[in-house]
Amino acid sequence: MRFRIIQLICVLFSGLWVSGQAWGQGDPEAEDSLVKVVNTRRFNQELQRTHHPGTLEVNPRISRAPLAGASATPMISLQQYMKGAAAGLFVKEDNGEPGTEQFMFVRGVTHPVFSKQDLYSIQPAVFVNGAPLAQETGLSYNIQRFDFNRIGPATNPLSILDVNNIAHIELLSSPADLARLGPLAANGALWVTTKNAQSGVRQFNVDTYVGLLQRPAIKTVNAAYENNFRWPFYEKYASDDQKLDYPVYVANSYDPDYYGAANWKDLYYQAKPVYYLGFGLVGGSERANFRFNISDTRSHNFDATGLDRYAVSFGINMLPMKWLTITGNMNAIRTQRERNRNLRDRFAETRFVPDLTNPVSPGAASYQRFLDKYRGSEDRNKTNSFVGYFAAVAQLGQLSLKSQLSLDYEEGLRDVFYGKPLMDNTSFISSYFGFNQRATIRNTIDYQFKSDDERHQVTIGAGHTFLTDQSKYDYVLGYNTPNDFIKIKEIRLSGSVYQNAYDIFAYPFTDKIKSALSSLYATLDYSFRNVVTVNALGRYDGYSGFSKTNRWLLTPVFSSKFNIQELLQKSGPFSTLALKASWGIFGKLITDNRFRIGPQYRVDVGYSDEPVLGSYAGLAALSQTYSAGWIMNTYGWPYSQKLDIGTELGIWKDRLVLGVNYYNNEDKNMIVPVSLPTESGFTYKQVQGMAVRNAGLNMHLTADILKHRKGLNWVLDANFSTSHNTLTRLPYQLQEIEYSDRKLVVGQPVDAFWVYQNDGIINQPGDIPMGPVLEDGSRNPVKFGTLELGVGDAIWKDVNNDGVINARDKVLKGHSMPVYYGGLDNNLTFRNFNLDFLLFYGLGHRLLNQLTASKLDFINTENSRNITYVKEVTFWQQTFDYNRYPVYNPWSGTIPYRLDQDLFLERADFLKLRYLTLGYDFSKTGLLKSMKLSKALLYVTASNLFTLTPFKGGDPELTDYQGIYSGRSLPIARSYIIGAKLNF
Amino acid sequence: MGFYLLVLTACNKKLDIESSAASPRTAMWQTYDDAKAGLVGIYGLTRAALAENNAHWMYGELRKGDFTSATKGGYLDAIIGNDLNKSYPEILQLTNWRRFYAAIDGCNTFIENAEKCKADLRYSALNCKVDIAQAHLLRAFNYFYISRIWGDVPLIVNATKDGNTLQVARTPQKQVLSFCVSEIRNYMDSLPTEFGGSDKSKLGFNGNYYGENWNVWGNAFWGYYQCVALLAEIYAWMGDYQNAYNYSYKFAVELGKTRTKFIETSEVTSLLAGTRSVFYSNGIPNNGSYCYQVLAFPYRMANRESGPSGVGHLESLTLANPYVARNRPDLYITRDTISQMFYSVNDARNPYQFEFKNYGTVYFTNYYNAIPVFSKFRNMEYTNSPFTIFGSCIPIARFEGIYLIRAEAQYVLGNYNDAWAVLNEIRKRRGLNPWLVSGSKPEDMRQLLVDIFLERRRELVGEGNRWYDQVRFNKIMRTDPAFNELIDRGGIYWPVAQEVMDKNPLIEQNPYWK
Repeated sequence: MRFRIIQLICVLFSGLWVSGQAWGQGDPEAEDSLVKVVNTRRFNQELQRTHHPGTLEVNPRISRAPLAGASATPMISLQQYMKGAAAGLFVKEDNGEPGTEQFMFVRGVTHPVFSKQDLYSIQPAVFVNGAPLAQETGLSYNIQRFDFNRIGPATNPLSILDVNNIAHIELLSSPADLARLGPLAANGALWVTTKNAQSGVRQFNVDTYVGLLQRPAIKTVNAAYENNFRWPFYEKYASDDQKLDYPVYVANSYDPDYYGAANWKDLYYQAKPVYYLGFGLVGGSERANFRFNISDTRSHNFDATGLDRYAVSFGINMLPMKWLTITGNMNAIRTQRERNRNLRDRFAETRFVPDLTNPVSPGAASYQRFLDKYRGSEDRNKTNSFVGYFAAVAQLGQLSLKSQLSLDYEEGLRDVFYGKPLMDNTSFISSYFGFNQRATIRNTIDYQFKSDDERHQVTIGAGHTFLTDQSKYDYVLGYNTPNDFIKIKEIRLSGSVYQNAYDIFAYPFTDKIKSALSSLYATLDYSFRNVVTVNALGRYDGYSGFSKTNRWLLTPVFSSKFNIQELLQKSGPFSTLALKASWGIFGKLITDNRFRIGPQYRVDVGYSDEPVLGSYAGLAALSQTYSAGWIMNTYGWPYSQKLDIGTELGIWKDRLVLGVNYYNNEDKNMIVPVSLPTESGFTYKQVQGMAVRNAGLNMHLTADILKHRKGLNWVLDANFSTSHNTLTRLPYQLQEIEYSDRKLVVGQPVDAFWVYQNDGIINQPGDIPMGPVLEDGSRNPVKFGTLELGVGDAIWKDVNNDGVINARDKVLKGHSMPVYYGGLDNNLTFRNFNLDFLLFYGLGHRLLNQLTASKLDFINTENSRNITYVKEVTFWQQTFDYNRYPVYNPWSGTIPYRLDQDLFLERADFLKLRYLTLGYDFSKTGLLKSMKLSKALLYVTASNLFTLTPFKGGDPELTDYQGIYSGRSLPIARSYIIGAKLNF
Repeated sequence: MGFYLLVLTACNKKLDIESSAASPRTAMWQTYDDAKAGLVGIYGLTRAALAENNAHWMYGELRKGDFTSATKGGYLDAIIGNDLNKSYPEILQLTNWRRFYAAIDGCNTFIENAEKCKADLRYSALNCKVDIAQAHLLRAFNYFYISRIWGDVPLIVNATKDGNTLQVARTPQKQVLSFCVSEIRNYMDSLPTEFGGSDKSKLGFNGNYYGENWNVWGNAFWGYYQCVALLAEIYAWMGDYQNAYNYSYKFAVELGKTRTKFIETSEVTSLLAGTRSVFYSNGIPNNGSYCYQVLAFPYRMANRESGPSGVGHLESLTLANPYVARNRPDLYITRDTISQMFYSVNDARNPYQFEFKNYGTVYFTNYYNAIPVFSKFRNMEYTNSPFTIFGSCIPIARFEGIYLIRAEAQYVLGNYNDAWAVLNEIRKRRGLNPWLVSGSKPEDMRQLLVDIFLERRRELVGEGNRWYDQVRFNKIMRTDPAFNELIDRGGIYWPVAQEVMDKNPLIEQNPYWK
């Protein structure tokens, strides 16, 4: 059986792998019953219930991410465990607040990211023991004015996985890896295998840590700094009227709140402990065994944010017949989140912007007064998740049948109440309930033929998957509750007399989407003496999200592997030398359900500030989708055409393993908004036919650099990736598209910034650049649009030399996603000591510094009601050197400090030490030897110790999905923990 | 394999999942409810176009108007100063006419499809006729509105078909306006004088309209007299004062059928300004039998049809303490300007209340502050809390304004005595003494015109008319050279957004803004 072979290899390799790890399941020699272990090994192999789903064998030393360090670091989400740990995966952790959403990109950006919904649509699928987890749809963004956060708890759904319960994680990215998974995994996949039940000696493990965060070193300032910064602009450019308009809080140096000590950080950066306590139990007999794991995790960041996670996991294996294995695994997780007290996030939730004339002041006393306003407010964020599956595997001679039923249900609840002090004397209440659910049934059948001499092997197989997704939310927000104590209901005074019965002004919302995917595949696999393997797989997928006539798609995947080492002499240095290639087409899913029904009518009578207004004269209004764009009659499958060519190289008995893969993914037939004349009333029309190419190299190196049984051991696990994306096609043979503040040009990257090029300042009228020579030989001064330039304006390059600076002169520049990224994990052991550290880097990308732009553009941001510019208490710190910027006239109608210019485009390369952990295993010391512990590790870990970056304004990782740095995220804090791991 | 084929066909059915948030085009225009939702949709789209960025006031009130921006610099200052080429994001959005064309396309779609709903027997032929006439009227209104803003605008009378990129050049304003006029005149007889009440037209369209009576609707749906009022406005803008006179006169003499009336002197403090003024919700104060909003886009407050941003209501720009928790409003009228507007202490709207020998709250609150709060519009949903839910409509026209068009028309037509009489009719109702300057030469009568427009300025302040009034005034007067230049060079129109021209190369920038 081919699968068996893979399983066997996997098990063998994992045995090798685990024994090489300091924090694996322990040294077999130390087990008290070696014989029993050997006896049960066969059975445990049988139970290797989830295996790499690919059509080609993969060396696990290449495919598996190093988790040892991550399990000794206070991390809570899958994204964090995987950051810097796999070639081809870039993890974007844009906020240090525990439990916030994080995003992953497998092999580049396959679709331009205009919105959060786009971001969700390019996320890789995550499989836990073969069960696909439900994916976030971004459905609720339809009713949101701002997309900073999703409504509801908005907890990262992948923060439910406890790293101590995970055996290994593999990144699936090549066509061969993904062939059996199909459209679900068109953006790549993460294949998570939790620790398995095992028969054998009953084993306990206890894991724990406790630690603290370190305050970041920041330079706080008060209004005196602000005054020094702003007044020169007033002196240079302001009219008398404008001088009179100088903000009072900056001007009044007698105001102790603004001119006093800027010690807000003492309150804001208060460190509370992070901790973890987990307990695991493995046991059972040869025919039935189980694993049980329970854990409590507490994560924390500044501004009183935190996340508590309670997770229970239970797995069983049963072998009722010799040929039948039944496995099951259930995980129940509850999280609770304490969220930040940002003004911006609160205003986005309440949709209500109070008076912002005076910002929160920098003094601790006045900041405390502000925090006191939160007394009596509520912000409860809970999620309940259930992930589970049951599978039966039948092995009847050469025939193997497998059936798996899995369910992922994730619900989120949020209750918010803000009282009068926070809400300018009114009050706000909201309640959210929503869930995402994914149910999957999967059946596979395989049959293997072998020639008599076993030189030829043929396997045929087929599989069917039926998957249903459901996503729903109910949300109500209201204002003006009876008072700060009676938050919801009216109260009955007497008889039928109610007070405040109708005073709550509430808006209810509800929405749901359902979708279903039905997949069928058939595969034919031929192997000759394990030298050449060729696999062909055909898929037939049907998805409910497309027009009825176009919903089925037939796609092939071909893969082959050439094991050269089989032809070489066994004595040579090459233990592995293989060439691999795979090519295939994968349909891509669209979660947005509007495309399936063609041109349509929906509620569209709201406007930017009131997007949810749905009626006129109290009647529900229907119209065509003017704001969302014209929907075409039919939409078919977008698809991803993937090519992967790679080598696997192992020398000296795989002491050094190198995997190099070249990939070229062409994502085609994607939907993009194409402009329509505004006179049609429609913003855009949603047309299919955009194509994006992502190409690059993924390299993975694992090396036992030093290997001394009693001396120093050093294992290096390094990965390096390059990523180049190009827009290759637009519908209607268009060469470019503009969409809000982004531009797409064929042949250019899709993650580029679109900016004016800064070319100095106009200090005197003579500096105003002149336009092209006209027919009569004269030249006119360059204009900004139709506006004449004046002293104090910025000079932007007139790229097309038409004498007018406008959007035509903006250029695409830089990348918002790293071009080169990777990680270096080092594991050093010396006797009982263990040192592990991970370096993580991203290079070649840039960020657009909105923080600096908004501070320089203080005239326009000061009185703006746009909550993007609300001043938090964190405003009171020095984040840039204003002497390095030209002194433009901030009152100019050209908006010289606009964000979309390369003045604010900065290099965002970084190299970070993600964690450094030092441990000592006491189990082998004389002191504890008698206790028969297989592991007694005590360790200390420091995380996020340093960041090397040319960016001066903060942490370049904290940019949003379009590469904009707002400086509003909580830091990815430096932390120190002490922990212990016991196995017995 | 057969098993799998079976599974496959079963699955295909399982893939038929309905969308809950939208209904396909093929399912629309079949029932009474589709017609209702579609009709409401075109009103809603028009209101959205006027509400986005408080556009109605940005276009109609601010330019060279009475309001001052509390912040120096910024888009409000730029609009007030007529610097419409500054690149503030709000101005860039205001120069884009897409939302109006969404409403127009909605009207076109309704006109082309509403007949199909008659398949539903609940949708009577008469109801359908009335609804289609409303769509014609609303389309004409939209064209009138945008041609006042941009001058020549593309005239499109067919619905967008299958997302085709049809490009149309700008149609001369004259042609657009005469289209508006002929449309309204063609369809006004297909409209009842009121909805959900006793129709006084020949149609006899009585009884509840879409399930409710007139006391619920007010003038939320536009009928025969909305046509009359709109025709008076359009003809005045076109300079066809004979017709402007005819229709404004018609409105006044048939006032009994219009279910509107003047706000009387005693009602000024409660109805013209106040927390439940004539601008609140459906415009029928105190559940009475008069709707004072002749042309308006109301927000129906009984259904909580208003949001916490306040945008789409003038209050969001003009209110501050003590009404909402805001130190100063975005817009206010300086005391200097106030004293130019109100010179008579007898004026019921004058902040100085003669009766009490003190400054009271009518149009203004905190008159003696550096920034008096313009509180003519203060329809707070909660009068006891500073919560920013406002109930004011987007006002287009009231009877007082229509009445004054008659005075303006009579002035141009040379019937000065009637012009005086009409003006004094209004003055009387605001506590002002009637006055008259005798003479028959136009030069002598200039003061009459000044006074007519001064009365408009006082009465209609904050209702989004000031700019258009200035244009009409200066077109008649032609004494202000700077303004004459604006009129002659097309500076009275707004520039067109670059985005509009990029998406349709046939559109050219207004010459003044080139």
